[in-house]
This record gives sequence, C-alpha cells and structure tokens, in this order.
Amino acid sequence: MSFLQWSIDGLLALTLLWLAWQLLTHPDLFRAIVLFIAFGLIMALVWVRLAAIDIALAEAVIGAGLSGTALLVTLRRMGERQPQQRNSEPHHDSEA
Amino acid sequence: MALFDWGLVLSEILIVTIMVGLIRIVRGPTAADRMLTAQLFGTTSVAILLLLGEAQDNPSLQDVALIFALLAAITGIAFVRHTWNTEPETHD
Repeated sequence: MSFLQWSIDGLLALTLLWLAWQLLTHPDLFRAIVLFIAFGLIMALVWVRLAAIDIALAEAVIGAGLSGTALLVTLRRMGERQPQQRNSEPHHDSEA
Repeated sequence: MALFDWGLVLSEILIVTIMVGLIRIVRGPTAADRMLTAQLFGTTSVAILLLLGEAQDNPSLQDVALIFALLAAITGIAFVRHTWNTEPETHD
C-alpha cells in the first residue's frame, strides 16, 4: 500500500519533470502550448496527491484551462501578424 | 480495504497510460493529434481523480473532476475555433 503510493508519486514527479523540460526547450510554440496544458493537468494531480484540493481546483481552472485557452488565442494572433508569404494577402491564416 | 487497494492500482495504471500518451505529443504529425492527446489527458485525469477520491474517502475530489471535464471542453473549443484553420478566412 505504501509502495503503491510511493510509486504513484514517483511516476507523477517523473512525468512532471519531463514535461517541464520538454516545454521549456522546444522551439515549436504550438507543441509547447499543448505540453503546458498537459503540465497543468499533471500539476493539478500532484496537488491532489499533496492533499491540497483547493489549489488543485485553482490550478485546473487557471493553469490548464484559462491559460491554455489564452495561449492558443495568442498563438493565432501572432500568426496573423507575422508576414508568412510575401506575395499573398496579409490576413492569410497560418497553421502553426 | 480491498476497494482502497484497487483504487490506487487502477489510478497507477492510468498514470502509466498518460506517460505512454506523451509519445503522441512529441511525435504527433499534425496539430490535431497533439491537441487530442491533451484532451485524452483531461479525460484520464478525470478518471484518476474519481478513483483517488474513492480510494481516499474524499468526496470533494469529484468537484475537481467536474472542473477538469469542463475546462478540457473549453480548451478543445478554443483550439477548434482559433488555432485549427485548414483554409484561409477573413478575420473578424
């Protein structure tokens, strides 16, 4: 029982560290945003394991949900502003 | 006591499936694959929270699971509306 709890915490910590390393070092912005959303979800699970359920609620709402949505919208606005093709119209949407 | 053990064992299996699903974020060919993996993480996290709430006799974890389900839907809607564009459209 204790070994099970230790292994759950260890797996969560390993996943969290790997996600943080990947999202900080990757040049693709959309992949970093998806990794950030996954990081928020795992972080909320870690707060639940630490018996801080209210912080887990705040992390799920602010960290994973609202920040992920805001970052996705921001990525689209950045893609609109960058000149992707020099010859086409400037409001051409770009796939990140 | 048996229910206590099974809840922890099943939640650990689900955490292992999350770690396997990370492969699809890293080498997903398209953006939709990566975003659907994030949706899968949200669904699996709801299951993990419900199992942990049952294992630890903590019914307030069901509220956290509700918030997870709601926010996963909002993130998916934002992805479809704002990021996943396959054809050019006029903004505004």
